[in-house]
Amino acid sequence: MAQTKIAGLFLDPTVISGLTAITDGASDADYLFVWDAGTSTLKKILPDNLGLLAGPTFTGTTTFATLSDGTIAVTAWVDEDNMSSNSATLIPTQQSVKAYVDANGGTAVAGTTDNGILTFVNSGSTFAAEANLTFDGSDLLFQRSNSNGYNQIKVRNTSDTSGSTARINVASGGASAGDAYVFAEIIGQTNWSWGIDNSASDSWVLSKDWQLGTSNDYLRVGTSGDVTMPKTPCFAAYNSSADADVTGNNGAATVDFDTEIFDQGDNFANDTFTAPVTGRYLITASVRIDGVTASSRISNCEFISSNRQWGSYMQLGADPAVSPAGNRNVAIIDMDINDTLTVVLTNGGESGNVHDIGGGATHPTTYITGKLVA
Amino acid sequence: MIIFPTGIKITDTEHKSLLHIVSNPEEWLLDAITEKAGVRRDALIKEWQPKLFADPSVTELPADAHALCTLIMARDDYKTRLQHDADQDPPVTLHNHNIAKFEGTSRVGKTIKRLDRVPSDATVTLFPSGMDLSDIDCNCILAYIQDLSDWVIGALMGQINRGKKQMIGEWQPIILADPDVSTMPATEEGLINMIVARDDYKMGHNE
Repeated sequence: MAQTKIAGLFLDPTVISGLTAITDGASDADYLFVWDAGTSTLKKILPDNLGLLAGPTFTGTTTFATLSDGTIAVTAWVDEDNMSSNSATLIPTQQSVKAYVDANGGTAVAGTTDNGILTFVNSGSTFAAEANLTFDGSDLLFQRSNSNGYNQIKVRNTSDTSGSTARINVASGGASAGDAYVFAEIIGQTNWSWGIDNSASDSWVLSKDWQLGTSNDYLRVGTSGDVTMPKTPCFAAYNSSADADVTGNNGAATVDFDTEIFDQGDNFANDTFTAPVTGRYLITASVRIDGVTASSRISNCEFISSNRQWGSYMQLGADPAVSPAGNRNVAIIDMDINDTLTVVLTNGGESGNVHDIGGGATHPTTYITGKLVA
Repeated sequence: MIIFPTGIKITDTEHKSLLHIVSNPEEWLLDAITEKAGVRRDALIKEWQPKLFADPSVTELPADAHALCTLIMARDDYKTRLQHDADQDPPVTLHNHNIAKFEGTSRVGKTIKRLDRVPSDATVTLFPSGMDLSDIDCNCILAYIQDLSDWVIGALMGQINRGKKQMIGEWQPIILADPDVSTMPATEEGLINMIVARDDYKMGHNE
């Protein structure tokens, strides 16, 4: 019979007094004995009286009937390449696990529960795993209906040391390749993309589109640092020919800007700028005044915005009178969405409205410009 | 408060321009007024809060924005924009140029080159029973603007012009590139009608 040495076998001294005394020397089973000093008696040590210290070391071959963690009772190891017994109490060998995975590569793990095994299909260059994570050779898709929750992919470097970074790399092949960009969408609603537009000198572009380089580019940053905003409200318009006798005797003339040079965002029409968003707008205007006489006095070039009026007063008229004269106004104006702004010129001192608002077809002399600044 | 009790009449071209960028013009305009009221409500509270804090007779303030605005407007030292303007020396001129343009009167009697809008061409009526607005919204707006109707017309015409420009800007290149189209109208109205009549045109797609 093989002998087994058990390191760490112990007998709790507190239980000795409770052991059964040897009274007749007859043996109904094999046992050890111990001297109980308290009662000066020899007592039996049965297997149930023995315990093991933590971390015992067994040498030689150890056999067992059942190993249990309190929940799962393992009864044996098994070397079964096809896992056919499908047991909850058998532990597979490394060889059988490898043989099973090798033989079943590319087959999706059944079911859609968490903690599935991700497998790679060598023949099709695809992944197959849980229904929430798939790769079809082109798209790696993590998709899951998650009511009131976040689906997110995290890239985190938790090291708080210099040079410890976290990043996502999006790259395209080279100068002849397409763009490298990130695309966000509210499905069926709105798309935004941002990244490098390879066909536009590698500018960084923010576009309200699923792709870069369209008429929906909203922000472009060139490789030299130049920033353009092709959709930000910005306009310039001028008066192409004179409007005669519109003020001079306190007549309030809405200045005519009949020709647009540019109007990013389509917010200027009929001499009026209509704010597309609530914000601060830098507005400038210059008005040429003809027909000024020595009788002229105050001129007010006003911005009439919805929330307030922004005046610019100057003294007209002198002896001799200077004509043409001009009045200008510049302001950063708070405008709410859909507020309007026009320019009104009011001149006084003359006996009648004899002042003309000048205009020029080639070079603007009466004009308005504006842009959203904040 | 009901404004424009018989509605706002716009032309068919203006209506098509509006529909190019909003699917429901009436809903859009009501939303625009509500948004304006919200911005002005916040501005009114921000403007008046320091005065209320400094006023020893005010011991507590309502925690509701509308109630706070109502409290402000009930004060003796509160004035609407129109009241403020009338108190200036000289009084600030009341400008209704949005309505004047809408009604085609802004250029009457002046020797100027451009024709005004022609109201008699209008065939589409928005809000035929008038616009019913909440008093608090109207009063918040009137704390800062002279004339609510003028503001509404300005917002409406601005959106119409925006729609008109966007429609022509988007579709003129398509028409020019269309081999099946040999000529196109020489007027803005004609061009808009042509665009809207195309099979591939879809209204309200930009909203």
